[in-house]
Amino acid sequence: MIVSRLMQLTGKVLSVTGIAGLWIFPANVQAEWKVNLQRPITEIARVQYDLHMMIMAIITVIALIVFAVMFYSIIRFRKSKGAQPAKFTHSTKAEVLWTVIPTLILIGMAVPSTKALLLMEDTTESDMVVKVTGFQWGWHYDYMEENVSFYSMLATPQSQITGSETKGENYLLEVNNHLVLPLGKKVRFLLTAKDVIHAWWVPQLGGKKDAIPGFINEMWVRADETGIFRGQCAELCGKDHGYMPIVVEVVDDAQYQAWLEGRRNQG
Amino acid sequence: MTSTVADHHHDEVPKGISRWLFTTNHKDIGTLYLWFAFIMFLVGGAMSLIIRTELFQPGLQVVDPHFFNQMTTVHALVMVFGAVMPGFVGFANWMIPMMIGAPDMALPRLNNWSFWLLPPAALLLIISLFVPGGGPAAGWTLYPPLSSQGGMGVDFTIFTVHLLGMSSILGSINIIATILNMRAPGMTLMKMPLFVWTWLITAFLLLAAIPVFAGAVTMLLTDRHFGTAFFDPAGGGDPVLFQHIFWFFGHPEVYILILPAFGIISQVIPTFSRKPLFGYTSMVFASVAIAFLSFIVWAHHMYTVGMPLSGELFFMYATMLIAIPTGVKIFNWLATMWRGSMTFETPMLYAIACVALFTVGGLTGLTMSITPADFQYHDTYYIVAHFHYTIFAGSVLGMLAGVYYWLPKWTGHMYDETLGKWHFWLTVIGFNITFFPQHFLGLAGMPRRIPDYALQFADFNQVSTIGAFIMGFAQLILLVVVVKAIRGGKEASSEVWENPEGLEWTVPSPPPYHTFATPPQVR
Amino acid sequence: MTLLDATSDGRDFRLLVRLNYSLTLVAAYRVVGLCCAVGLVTAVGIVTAGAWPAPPFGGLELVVLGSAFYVAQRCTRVLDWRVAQGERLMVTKRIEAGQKYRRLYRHWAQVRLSSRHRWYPSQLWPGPHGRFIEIGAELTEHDRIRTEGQFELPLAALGGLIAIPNRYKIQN
Repeated sequence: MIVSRLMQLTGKVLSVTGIAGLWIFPANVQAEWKVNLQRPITEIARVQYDLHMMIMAIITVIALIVFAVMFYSIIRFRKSKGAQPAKFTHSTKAEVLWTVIPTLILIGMAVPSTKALLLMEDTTESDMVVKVTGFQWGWHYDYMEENVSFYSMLATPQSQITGSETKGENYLLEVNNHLVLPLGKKVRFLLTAKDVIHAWWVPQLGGKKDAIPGFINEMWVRADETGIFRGQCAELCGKDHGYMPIVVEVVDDAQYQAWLEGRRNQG
Repeated sequence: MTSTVADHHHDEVPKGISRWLFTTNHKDIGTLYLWFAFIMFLVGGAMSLIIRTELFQPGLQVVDPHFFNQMTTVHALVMVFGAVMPGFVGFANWMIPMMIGAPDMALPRLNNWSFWLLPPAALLLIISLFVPGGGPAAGWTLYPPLSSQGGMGVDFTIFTVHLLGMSSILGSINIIATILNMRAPGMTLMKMPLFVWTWLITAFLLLAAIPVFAGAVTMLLTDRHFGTAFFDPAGGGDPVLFQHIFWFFGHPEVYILILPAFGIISQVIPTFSRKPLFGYTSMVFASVAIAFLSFIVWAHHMYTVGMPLSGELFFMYATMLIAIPTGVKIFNWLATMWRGSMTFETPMLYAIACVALFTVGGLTGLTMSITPADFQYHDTYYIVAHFHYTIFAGSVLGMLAGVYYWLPKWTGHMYDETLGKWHFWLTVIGFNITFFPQHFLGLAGMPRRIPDYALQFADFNQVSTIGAFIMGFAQLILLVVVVKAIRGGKEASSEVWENPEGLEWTVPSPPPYHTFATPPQVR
Repeated sequence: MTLLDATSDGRDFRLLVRLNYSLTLVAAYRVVGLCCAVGLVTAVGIVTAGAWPAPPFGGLELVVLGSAFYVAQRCTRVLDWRVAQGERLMVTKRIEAGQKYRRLYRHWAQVRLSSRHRWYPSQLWPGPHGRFIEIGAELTEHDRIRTEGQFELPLAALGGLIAIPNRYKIQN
């Protein structure tokens, strides 16, 4: 059994890699090559984005300096060019310098980070509460004050996953019931889980938070624009971890009220 | 005349399988460790190629999701506990006694035992993949409650971890006893080569970290089978407790994986720069500082579990501090190269690549220390890219630098420089093609540990897979290089390189079966 | 390691058998004590967090660490010291508890090395027939074999410390 399984596996590996160059599939059509964080649409996500860009700028400069010195040394001090080795073994001045300067840079980074953290952890004065429960493998949303609750699970058909059907535009990022949120309202999320640990993450709304069985975690979101925003479970939660997306639809207040009404009538 | 008699005994090397089974010789045991690590490296590498093949394009083509999770889990366990840690212990066994002028390790029989615990452990882990229910599939971090759901394979893994932990503890106790107790006259602590220093610190880290891990997996075991509820919320337990305990082990563990590589780099760069190591004292203190800090930063692996604000702030500040000693090390290496007289044999190429790419990994690590930003990075491919830049580019490239550096000493033959350079360039280029795009994937929002992904991630994943195959197959060149060097080649002198520093270069290549019969004098 | 001290004609010699030791007893106590202290603090923290199964593993490990240091230290304090003057050869074995010695006539002395090349370490037994005394149990296998060689030819035993080339000087 083991041998046959291995052989099967080898065959599959070879078939996929062997004809790698020849495979044409829809992904190539909409090539995106995205290299940075998704466009933020909440205050938290914006703060994170700005912090991220600031730190990236700092580390890029540091990396460039390190590489410049390194490549200069490699080019300039090679034996083949007749470089004679110097004898020095230490220099207190230099060592103090490259301890103190990084410390100052770190302090410079710590200040805005602390501010951002304080902002993110402030879940007070929220307008509404949504309880999010992760389970294997989907999400359950409960609008606690509105008496509305529903399940939200992957809507991508199995045939697209196995490849017998062309993959749709939002492959793996589509669900049967969207989580609908009103524009401009501070929504407080209470996160928990039924079985194992999950993590609720919509990149454009801000960071992720773990949904842990037996615990309730908090986070908040205030969306600044309407639209549909997609995310995924971010903590390994078993076999179908890759198949529990999150779709958030931000609408204006009137639409939101209408949607709530519709939901109540359904339920 | 005495010497004739003594020499007669001197070179009698036991033959056959029992030489390897019952050996108490530090060189034999070092060789065993290194071969074991290399085999595990190939096994783990093969698993990563399965992962990368599945991720070559969206959809499920090669494996089912459950097997995919087993692959990611076992790949990590094999690489961390089977390849990198034993590899460095192999280096320690070979080099530490030679570097400090000791005849052998302090406790040779214990040494034998700590090696022979490894093969059964590895076997147990591989077998776990084929038992009903499959191998561990909860990630190498084994987070409960998910790990409580697994089948018998998880129990196998727990026993594996116990065996491997025991092996590392015995190994590190031996290393500590050797370094502290067996130094040749005159070899004071502050004269020890940096590789010996970093291993001494690593050994203490292992002593502190491994029992905690053993405790954590034992609690997992009793939760699974004996009705306890340490981590089971239904029984009043706390799943987050496991994460705290795991990372209390896990963060020192990452420095266990990197510090010996720092040591090797600190040996290689001075040799090929023909200039003494810059800032020896600050290197030692930086290593000690890194080791100390590693015990108070564990929760930066779990910013998203919902810690109190004060906790998040503390761990953020503490984590940022690690950048300072790490920076000192990198600057010191640069200063060693500065105004040197460099040549670029394969070990030096690996050492430079290690410093350069580890710098990238270190800097992305700095971005993650920032708690608010980490909420975006956490559990994405950005993390995957980061830790491969530290563990592959740091530990493995450092180890490869060491292999090429000391291979002539071990075998008595020079390795094939051309093949070595091929190995180097293919590995480093393949590595960057594999892992650099993963930074972008992570930032764009691709979570880690998923067998299938949305269409916008397809392009970089393809690139990454191609890189992985280049890098993976390049490692077979190493096998050729090593086998060639063992079987013959240009004889290596005892110094091998141009004026290298260290006692290991005062003995012939290959060194006699028993190195220092009488202690060398260190002046 | 075995240190040999002989007159130039080799008739009188002194052989000192012991391990390298670079750690004093006090320092060994300190190292083990420090490990225990750190272990205790960690253990208290971990037990407070509710993970009491972890510290026993740490305790077990500290026992092994202590034993390893004990063995290493004991080895360094066992001195096998042989002195030969003229016709007589004295083997002195010093252990903490006291010392054992045999006075042998050089011509009658034999050296036996048992069970070489088995996985179990060999034993070195100098002495006249029937009155052997084991020495060098703490040595590595090679050193024991080498010591036997030195023993067998005490008259010819000459030599000293191998000097390391001048170039090897560690900076700082």
